[in-house]
Amino acid sequence: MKTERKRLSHTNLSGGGKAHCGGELWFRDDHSIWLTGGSSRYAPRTQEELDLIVNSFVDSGYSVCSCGWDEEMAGPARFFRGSEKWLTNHEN
Amino acid sequence: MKIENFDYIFGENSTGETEVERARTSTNLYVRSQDHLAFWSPKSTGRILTAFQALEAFGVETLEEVLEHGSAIIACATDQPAATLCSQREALGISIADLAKRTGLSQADIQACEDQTKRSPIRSIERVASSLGLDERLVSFYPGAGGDGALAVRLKSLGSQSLNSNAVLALSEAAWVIRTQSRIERNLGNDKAIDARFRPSDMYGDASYPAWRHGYYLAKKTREILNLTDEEPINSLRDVCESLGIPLLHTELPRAHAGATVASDGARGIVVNTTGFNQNVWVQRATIAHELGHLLWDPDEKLQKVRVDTYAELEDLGTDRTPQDFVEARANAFAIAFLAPLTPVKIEYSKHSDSRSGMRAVMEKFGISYTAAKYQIWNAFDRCIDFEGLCVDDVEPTVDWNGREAFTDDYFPIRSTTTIRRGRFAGLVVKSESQGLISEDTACTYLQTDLDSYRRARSNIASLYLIN
Repeated sequence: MKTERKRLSHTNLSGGGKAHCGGELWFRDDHSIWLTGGSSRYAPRTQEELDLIVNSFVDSGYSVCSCGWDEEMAGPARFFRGSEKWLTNHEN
Repeated sequence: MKIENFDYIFGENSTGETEVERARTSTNLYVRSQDHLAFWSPKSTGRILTAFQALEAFGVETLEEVLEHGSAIIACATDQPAATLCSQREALGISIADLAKRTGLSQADIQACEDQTKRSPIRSIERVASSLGLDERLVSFYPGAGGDGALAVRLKSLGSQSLNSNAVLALSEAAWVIRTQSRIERNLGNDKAIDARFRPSDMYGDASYPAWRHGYYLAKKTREILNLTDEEPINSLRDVCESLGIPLLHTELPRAHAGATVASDGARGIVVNTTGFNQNVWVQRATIAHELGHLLWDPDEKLQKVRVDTYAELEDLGTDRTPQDFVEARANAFAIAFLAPLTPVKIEYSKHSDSRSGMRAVMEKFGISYTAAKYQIWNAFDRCIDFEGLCVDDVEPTVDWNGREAFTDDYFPIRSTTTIRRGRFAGLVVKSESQGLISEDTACTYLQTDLDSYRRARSNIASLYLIN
């Protein structure tokens, strides 16, 4: 997709319409991802919203490591700090 | 950066052509934590920054990242700010226990700040950083956070010789106040370089021209540069320092120490001990004048990053009794000749029929201590009068002199603000906040108070320190 900003944003994907949540994914391999809620427009508004997204990726079969929530910023962290905690749904 | 992004980053109501102009007129607020910068929201609890502060500390690319991603990553590496805080503390030779005591944080809090796996409250990190003389705005963002390695080495060396840990931390905090004050002055357009006529002099005397004589010469030259006649008393050394753009700070140091000069981030200031003999404002004036002599006229290699003077070193007033330290002898001579030039001293003393009245008149006219007056009268008469016979009944300064030099020590609208942050620094903080350059949140932290107390005291502080 070609955009004026020469990069793809969440708004390009949603067409500016409503969306539940936006964020960033990095693939460690085909089955495991690092996840952040970094988005200019669709960032999760609470830690609970972020956790819902994490759980939905876990439920769909991915191992997920979330960057977590930055309380002082009141937003999703994009910089990972501490030891990685991978969540996996063993039923998958 | 695209011009349309300015509206989002600085707000539609901000004006100007450049990002700095837009930031200066912006009412947008940002919030920072240890690792991130974001637009402020009512739920955020981190450090609130004005758009100008955010731009100044992190640059426009970082603000653009906030716009694009909802937040910007400001931690430059996983080991920051832990590594910087730990290495600076160790460079100063300070224990975690000492730092905890100074900052009012727990040892566990300090250890958490130095643990790269932890995300600590930004206010704790900033408090540690400013105590260590670092630029608190830059922790996480730059390794080293603008710290001055040479200053730390010098302070550590002083710590192992004569200063206790608390004094080392007091001087490193002084370095923080000096660098912050200079930055605020710059942002308000008040920055001034010291007059080029104050060209450092490496003349410390020789067999035919003693150091004290050159100190007298430099004092005379200083009065000329400042347009002061010999007869004119110097009513406020605080005003002299401020007119020269030299930060003048007061803090508690060990009782034996009178004062110091401290260099930080290209600025140099004077630190005066609030304990010991300086509690007499006339002694304090001699201390400030002595440090001024160092600061204005000593070359950098003599000043080093920190120069600390004891009261004992300041006792040799204009004589050549301690020829081992010509730097101190010259600064002492400068101090007394700057405050009380010989000829007017002689004239004032001679107006009185009895010696005691003459002594007191000299002290009151020029604002100098009994010891200083005694030496200077003796020198004024070419040491041909009875030195031991020069006595006085009352050695206490007058109310006028106390008021002129010491008012911020005695009275400040916010009790929790420590002495080192009172004075012009406080006035600049209020001015900067009222112009929207720094946030109320930052102003409160700089003045060590809460928002309600700050708002109550703001106009009072502004009227105490009239900043152009």
